[in-house]
Amino acid sequence: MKQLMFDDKDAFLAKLRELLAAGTKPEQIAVCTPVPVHEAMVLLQVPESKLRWFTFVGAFTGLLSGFGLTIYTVWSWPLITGGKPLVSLPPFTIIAFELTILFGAVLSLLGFMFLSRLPAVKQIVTPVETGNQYAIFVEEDR
Amino acid sequence: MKAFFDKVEREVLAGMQKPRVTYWLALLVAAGCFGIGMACWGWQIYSGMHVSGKNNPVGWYMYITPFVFWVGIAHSGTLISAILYLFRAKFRKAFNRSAEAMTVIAVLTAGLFPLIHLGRVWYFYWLTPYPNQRHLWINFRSPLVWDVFAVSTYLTVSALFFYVGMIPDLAIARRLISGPRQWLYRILSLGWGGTARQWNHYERLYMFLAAFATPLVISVHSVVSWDFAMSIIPGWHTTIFAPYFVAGAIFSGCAMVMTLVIPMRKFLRLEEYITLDHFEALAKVLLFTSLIVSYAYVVEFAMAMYSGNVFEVAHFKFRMFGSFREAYWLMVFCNVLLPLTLFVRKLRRNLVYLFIVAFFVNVGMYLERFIIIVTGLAHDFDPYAWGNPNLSWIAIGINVGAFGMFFMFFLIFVKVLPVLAIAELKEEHAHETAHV
Amino acid sequence: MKRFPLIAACALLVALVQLDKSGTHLLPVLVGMALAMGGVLVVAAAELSNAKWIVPVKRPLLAVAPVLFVFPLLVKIAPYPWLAHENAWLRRDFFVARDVVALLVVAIVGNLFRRASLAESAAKGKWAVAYILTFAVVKTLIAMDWVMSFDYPWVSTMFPVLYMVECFCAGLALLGLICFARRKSDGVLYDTATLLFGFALFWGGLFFAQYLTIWYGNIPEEVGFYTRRFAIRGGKCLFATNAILLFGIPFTLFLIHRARQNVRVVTVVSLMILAGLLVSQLFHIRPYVHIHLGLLVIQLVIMLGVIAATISIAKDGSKCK
Repeated sequence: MKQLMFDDKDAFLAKLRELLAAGTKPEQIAVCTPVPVHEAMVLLQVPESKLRWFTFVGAFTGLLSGFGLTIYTVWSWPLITGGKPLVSLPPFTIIAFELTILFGAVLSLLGFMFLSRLPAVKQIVTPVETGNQYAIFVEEDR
Repeated sequence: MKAFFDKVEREVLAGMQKPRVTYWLALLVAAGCFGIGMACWGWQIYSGMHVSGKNNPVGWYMYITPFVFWVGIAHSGTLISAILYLFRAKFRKAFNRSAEAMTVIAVLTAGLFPLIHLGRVWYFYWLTPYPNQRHLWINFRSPLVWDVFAVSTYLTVSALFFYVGMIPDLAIARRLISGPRQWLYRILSLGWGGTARQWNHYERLYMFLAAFATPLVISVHSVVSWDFAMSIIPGWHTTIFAPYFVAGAIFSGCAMVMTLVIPMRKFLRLEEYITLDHFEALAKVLLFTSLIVSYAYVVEFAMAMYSGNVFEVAHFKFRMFGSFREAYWLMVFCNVLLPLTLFVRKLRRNLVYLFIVAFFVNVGMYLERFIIIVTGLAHDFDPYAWGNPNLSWIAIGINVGAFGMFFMFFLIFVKVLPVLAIAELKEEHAHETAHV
Repeated sequence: MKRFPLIAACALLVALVQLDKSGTHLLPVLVGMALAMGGVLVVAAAELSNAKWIVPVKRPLLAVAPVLFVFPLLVKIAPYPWLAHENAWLRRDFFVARDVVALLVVAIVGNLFRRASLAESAAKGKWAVAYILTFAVVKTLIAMDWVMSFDYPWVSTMFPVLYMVECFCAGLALLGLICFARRKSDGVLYDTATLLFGFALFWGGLFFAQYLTIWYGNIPEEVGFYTRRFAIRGGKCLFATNAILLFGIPFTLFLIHRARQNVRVVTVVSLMILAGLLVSQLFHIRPYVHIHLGLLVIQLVIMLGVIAATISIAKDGSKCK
């Protein structure tokens, strides 16, 4: 594993372009940066994040759960309060709205952790710190 | 650029080093107040709810007032973090970490009050929908149940947002802070490495959480306002409550952010990162929300007079000239008149003046919730049912305890977690120097 | 010389409105007012928040400000039920006087702001604040006087707030249509679409809040507002259409990131918002006003034509530079 450290973002990007031009495959290169570097993401052909699917599934589940919970429980124990209809949509919409956001947010976090392979137990136990330098890790071909 | 990165890390993390005597004194006072509050609560559980001062007709008094107050304070944190992020407002970076911490602590504080108000706090789980042997379910048509869902969701999502925002900063703390504390940062940072893929997913996550938090903020305080608006009591049953309460929440929350950040900036020597320009921007938000709150006061009163409804007119006359008139006019001074002075630029850039205004705004907003709740209940339809609540030292003690708990947790936050979003400051600096 | 047809059209509109006893004029005038006041409002908000993205479209958007001077002439008493028993606040002379003065003041302040903003003077922030404050007062007054008084003594404190937010949405819709005229998909389009998304959501929340409060309380004095309108044929349909046009469609379409970058989608949504405004006014005044379709169409066409003409004149003016 070759490790290259740079203090300066432009030098880091120049070396990255050089490596890719020399024929190194993007899958063999990993970078660690103190701030997100979008040019590097483009160079390494990092695909668009699939996180939005986790978010959408979470939010949709929340919406269904909200209406499902409220409507099922009111049919199960049909108690009329305040003269309102049994299945009263305005209040049930509020519950569904809150659960949409709750499930959407929680599933987004879980999705992020899954997609980023966090928690990275090896990194927790023995952290490899690159600090404020821009690092390139290249897997050597055997 | 690296020099700036190293410098900002060093200076922000310096705040997390060994505290001085002033810190311990402040923590002692806060913890003392918290202890008083807990003792009072214990006494209330032992003696019964009569010690809280509430009675018939004023069944909601000194526990619902702080509930709404603290939920309101929490909202500003999410506004600064999430909503200003979506609007791409740069001045947010000076405050967002402290504001997010303030949000989480304030929601925790607020969440205690329905439990305190319950009396038999050990039955709190009856508020949640769990399957039980008697086939009972909670009443989803009740605004109090909407509260349970809204505040729980808000606590979870704001804690998530606070935590996620901190992950890169926790990695920095892991690198620079040694000793037994380092294990805390190692675990909490989840082994964050800053790889391109991680940053890619991270930026998406942050944006989604901000996009979720924004309607959540508005909905939570709307739901809390509907605790009152869903009734038929004059002064409570009015359609404007949702945006009026949300604006009031942001108003009181901005004031609390100022109250917290002005001294924190001085004690942790962060003048370079939190500048007068930042405070001026915050003062403008304060002024704007003050105008919205003033508008709501005027419109409510004007509509009551315009409609000629006997009960509405009587209610507003009671607010202005009844048993609580001193509190009402003090509230008008603090919320409507005093913030108008912020139209003057010099005053907006004077930190001592801002601190004083923020204090009075906090007082005014606490009084506003008090006025709405108590005058609404004390003086509704039937004169036979009119009555005032009793002054209660236990209730005052518990309120003092809540303030103590809030400041105590905030002081602990200041020493354990970074008070500025270091990674975001670095990113902003990288963008600015790149364009030079 | 180019201005003459415009002034003639305005004069025709004033004549038609003043001769219209049915109250039909409320629809086109309220929609036109929302567009004109809303357009200036969007620029004022952008100036105060130092939003740089609006600079390319500031001139056409502010071009509607002179139209504000027409509205004081369009104040006409509709068939209000309270005309039969007037009181201190609701009487013909005071009603007309205060509305004319209010609309004149907002026209003056709006145009002074326009001048300061286009000249990029140091005082433009102060004029933006002045316009926003004036707008809030005047729009509240108009909403209360022109529409809410139909149901006197019914009140809803949210009513003027809904009108103000609809006005801002109208300004954004106008901006969306200006983007269509520019035929460019850039930051202006994207930010307009994002703001439309946010404000559609905000409007939806407020609309729901008003309905929920009145539905839940179920007090006879209040609930009549909705029951009177649902009892008429097509009332419930109008209510649902209003919500779908001003919230449902903008919200669901603009959830998709790519939709916010597409000029055609933004144009369609902007037109839907304008339609939604019309439906909203119709829903509010229908129990009391017999709408004359012919008068409505003519007045609406002239109103929208005047606004479109002022914008295109400004665009041509800026091209000459």
